Amino acid sequence: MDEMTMLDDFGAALDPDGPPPRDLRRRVLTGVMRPQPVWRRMLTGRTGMRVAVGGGLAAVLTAAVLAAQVVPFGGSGPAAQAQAADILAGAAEQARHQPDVPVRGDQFVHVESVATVLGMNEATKQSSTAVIARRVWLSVDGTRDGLIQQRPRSGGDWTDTALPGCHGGVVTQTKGGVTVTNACTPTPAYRGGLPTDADAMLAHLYRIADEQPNKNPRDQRAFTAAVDLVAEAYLSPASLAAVFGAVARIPGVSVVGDVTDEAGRDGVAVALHEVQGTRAELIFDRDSHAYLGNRSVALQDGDGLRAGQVMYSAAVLTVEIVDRAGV
Amino acid sequence: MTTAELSGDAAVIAASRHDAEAFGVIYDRYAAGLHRYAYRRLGPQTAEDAVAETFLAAFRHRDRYDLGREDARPWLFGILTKEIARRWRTEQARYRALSRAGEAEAVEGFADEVDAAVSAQATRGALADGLRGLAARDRDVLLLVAWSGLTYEEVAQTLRIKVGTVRSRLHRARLKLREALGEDTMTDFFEVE
Repeated sequence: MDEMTMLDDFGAALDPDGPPPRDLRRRVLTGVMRPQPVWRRMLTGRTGMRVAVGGGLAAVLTAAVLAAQVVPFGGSGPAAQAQAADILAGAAEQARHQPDVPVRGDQFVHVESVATVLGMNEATKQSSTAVIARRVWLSVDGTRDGLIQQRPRSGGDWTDTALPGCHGGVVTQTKGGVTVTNACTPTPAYRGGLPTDADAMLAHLYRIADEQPNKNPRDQRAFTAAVDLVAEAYLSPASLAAVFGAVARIPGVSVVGDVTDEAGRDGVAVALHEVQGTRAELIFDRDSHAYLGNRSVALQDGDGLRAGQVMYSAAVLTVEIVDRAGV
Repeated sequence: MTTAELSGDAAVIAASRHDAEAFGVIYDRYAAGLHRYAYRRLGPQTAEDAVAETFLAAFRHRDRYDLGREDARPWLFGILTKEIARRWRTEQARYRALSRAGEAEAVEGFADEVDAAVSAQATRGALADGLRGLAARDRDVLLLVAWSGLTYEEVAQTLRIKVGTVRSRLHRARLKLREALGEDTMTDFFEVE
């Protein structure tokens, strides 16, 4: 046996147990995308990198830039925080009265929404706005092929983006006759067993926060985790209520004021100021306090943005559990 | 799915200049290979750091990538090599630990007859010793050839040296390694390419 063969054996003996840790991917991609605003996470979806921002959105750019319409009330400080707590308590109560839908692993979470997304060319710092309708079918257990469809809200054809499922530890993507296979771990669109009371949910949010590899303040990461949990998702009524109950306890969460949501509905926004100079908002129905959607608003000029500019705004229209992906 | 995912590395890197997310495709293609290579040389935690830094540095410098190169591996392994060089203390400590592990096993093994497994352990200890004693530039060549899956030409690209230099460094590294293994045979020595 010559030394190169020995080196082969030696190398094999030193190998890691498996593929690189998932944390590593997140760490790299967070670094690549930093700062990574909510709308980008949402567009990239729960399945990592593969949702086309280019295809769907580039085609629908318009020149419109919208400003955040807010009718502020409640002032600031403790009063605004207390009002936020009231709204979130209402949202939790409302959530508890939603039907508790049984969910099977082979089904899909189907969400229809409308969104306005401010796109930014990272090289030129030129912004552009996309006004889209969006519908997604996300595999409940992450092993089935899901689908994202987007089109300009002004009309036109839906642009499909496939979301290949992770089946047997392998994800297979085919396009133009070329097939690429990668190792993967399924990303379930719905998880049973999430906490159902606010305390446990708050701990859960901070646990997710602690796993995030970025340097945002911990409270901000927890709020982000909450937005990620409820945006474009189905949660059991008890868990959804628990999320809103938990958000009320995140320091810094306060009421912003009355807003009109992306779908034109009367809403009220509860938000957290982020260190990036943005405000992450959860929007609730002004009367029923039902969850309507979320927004991200720039608070200062700079980086091609103006204070008050809406970077991302999404309104959820329907959430359903369905048996198959696509219309 | 973006078209980038089905294109060559050069096209993906070009796309990532406007769309940062496309860079994830490069990660998905090569993270496993880079991580395994770094893991062998640096051990778990440091390998993760080195690989993360490699991808972030690659992303920062993606504008400088030569789009004439279809395969990004030499570029990535080149960056990784530098990241590993910055962590040479960890690498040396790893070989030292592996060398000691080899000795311990071997000594224990002698008591109840040397068997194949034990001798393999001892060999690994000697190899670790040998790797530790190599000059860094020789070790880079040797391990890229042995562990990265790159061809001599690709190793040359990776290290920005001539293929002839790859051969001569490899030759020297193998000679030293063989000394460390205590083999006096010269039989297949000259087959070194």
